[in-house]
Amino acid sequence: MIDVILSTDFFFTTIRVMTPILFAALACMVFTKGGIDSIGTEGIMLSCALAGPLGSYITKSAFGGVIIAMIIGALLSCLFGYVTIYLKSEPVLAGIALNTLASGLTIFVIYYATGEKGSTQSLMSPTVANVHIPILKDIPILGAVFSGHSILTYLGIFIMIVLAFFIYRTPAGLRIRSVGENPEAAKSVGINVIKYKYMSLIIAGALCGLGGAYMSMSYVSFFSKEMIAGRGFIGMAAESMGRGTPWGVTLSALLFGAADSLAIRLQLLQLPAQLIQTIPYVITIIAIAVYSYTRSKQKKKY
Amino acid sequence: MTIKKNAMTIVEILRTMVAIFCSLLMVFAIILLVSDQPVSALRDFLIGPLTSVRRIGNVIEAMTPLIFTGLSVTMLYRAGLFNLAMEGAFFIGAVAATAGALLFDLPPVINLVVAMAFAMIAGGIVTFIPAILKVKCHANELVTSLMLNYVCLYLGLYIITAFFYDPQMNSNYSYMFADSMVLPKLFSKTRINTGTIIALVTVFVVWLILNKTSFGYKVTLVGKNDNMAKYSGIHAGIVIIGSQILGGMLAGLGGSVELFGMYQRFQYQGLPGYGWDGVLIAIVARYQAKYIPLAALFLAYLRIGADIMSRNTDIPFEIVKIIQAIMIVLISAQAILSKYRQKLVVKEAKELEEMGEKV
Repeated sequence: MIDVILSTDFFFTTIRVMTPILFAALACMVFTKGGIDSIGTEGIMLSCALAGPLGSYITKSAFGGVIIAMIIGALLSCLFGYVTIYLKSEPVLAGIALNTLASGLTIFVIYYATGEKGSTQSLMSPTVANVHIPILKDIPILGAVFSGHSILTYLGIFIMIVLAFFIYRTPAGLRIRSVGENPEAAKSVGINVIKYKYMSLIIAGALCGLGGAYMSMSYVSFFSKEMIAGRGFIGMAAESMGRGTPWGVTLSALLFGAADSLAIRLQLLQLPAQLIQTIPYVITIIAIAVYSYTRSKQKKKY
Repeated sequence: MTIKKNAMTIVEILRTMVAIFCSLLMVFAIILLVSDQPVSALRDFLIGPLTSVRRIGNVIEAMTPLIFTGLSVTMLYRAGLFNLAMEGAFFIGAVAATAGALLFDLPPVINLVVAMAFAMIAGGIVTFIPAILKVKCHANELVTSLMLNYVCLYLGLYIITAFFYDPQMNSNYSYMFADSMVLPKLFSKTRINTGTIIALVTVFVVWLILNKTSFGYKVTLVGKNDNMAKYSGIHAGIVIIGSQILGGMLAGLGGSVELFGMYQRFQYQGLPGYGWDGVLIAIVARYQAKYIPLAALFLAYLRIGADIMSRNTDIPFEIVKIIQAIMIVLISAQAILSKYRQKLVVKEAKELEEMGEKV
């Protein structure tokens, strides 16, 4: 049993299934840093998962598709911002609305784009390539695990490092955090609250775009309905569990990836896969409870 | 206080009307833009559900589960929590009802009652978890409840495949229920069943709890102002947990009623989404139990209309989701009509002032 789990295949799959969750979790992290509710991540990702293949079909290049997915993500994210900031909709309800809209609108759009209601398979749109990293790919075990992933996977890890720097080491990052933590105080020292809210909306939306594009242009080669299947929500949980820090968020995303990958492996062993699939969710609930409990205890002390 | 509340209520009703009107208008625009046969599409959508007894029946059948999840969301949100576990509670309710139906061999009606009680208990346990974590650990109920929905999904599917799976079926369907477990049909030519009556009775019970008991009053108070409730001696934690358990029980009961009313065996392969629909129902009904059936009827009518339209024309059924989304946003948008509300409040305050001067 151990040899089935501890194979290079298992670790390779872990990274593969972790990627969309990483993007979702990073998006939720930026949303949360800017003080914006992140429940709409699921719907934005779903819309972008459709925008990617359609965009790459129109522009005839995978790069074009990814860019269009990011733009759509940023636009939808700003729409969410407009609705919650200007129209003063309850953010959770607006997020639920966004998710509902995405699940309906995507089917609507593919129906008119392809004549089918389930997927964009018939478009044969260009996909994002997998890359083998020179030198690394020839190292025995490491090569099999870390080489040969989608460009977007490597991009995701790169973005995580950039974000860690951006949020904690630059003035704009500091302002985003201050706007998120205490908008009134930020305003009183002359920070343009709306501007920095929209900055985080755009960054987070574009990240959702990358996550969505990964799902439909790399994980599989086409869009199919409801293909995000809760990964946006898992991103929220990973953000919570990772305590909002880039490394914590990435580790949480990795944990989800490993659990997912484990479920896939254990199916080979005829173990009840459905029970295994509950594990990451149960772990998250426990982790969030423990974290919240210790934090509320700390707060009481002061 | 009462005056201000009046103005608020008027504005909220108006906003709901405006939202419904605007979302329908936008959908008409979409239909006109993309459809090759817009007139027949619109006709099917708007009056299609009224054109035959069977279709009217479909509307009522579609309304029934929506009433339960609408009530569930009303109960959950009245206490001020965004507990989204009603989706999982509905699903687990159906699973527990399947267990109740297949495990025992009790006299007909008693077995049905036992199965439904199972569903309510299971649903209550589901929504209890985010509630207790919120009260005891201050864990964000939104994230825990979203995660819990997936636990419910996979655990439910596991229970069905491990214990009740009918090997003669291709998919993971359960064994068929005994005939006595199926809720009796009320009218010929339709599948309207006693489940609808159970739903309406439940509406009345929830209305009683929320409006005529001290518990209901406390739930609303805690939801509106946690601190004020605390200072007036209410155990906010107990009230929150109680309301969340009740909300889950309602969703669970809905799962069992839908299962025994419309199906002969358990055959969900994913979360059915009625919980999310409940959010729209509850906000259209402005979290008032008495308006829930009306809101559910409205959404059910749209669904059946869209279904008929999608079968006869080139407009896909999913247009309903677009309507739902626009409605949720517009109804919850506090800024819409806020100037009008301001005017109303000022006007009423002035009237009050004048009355005061006269006295």
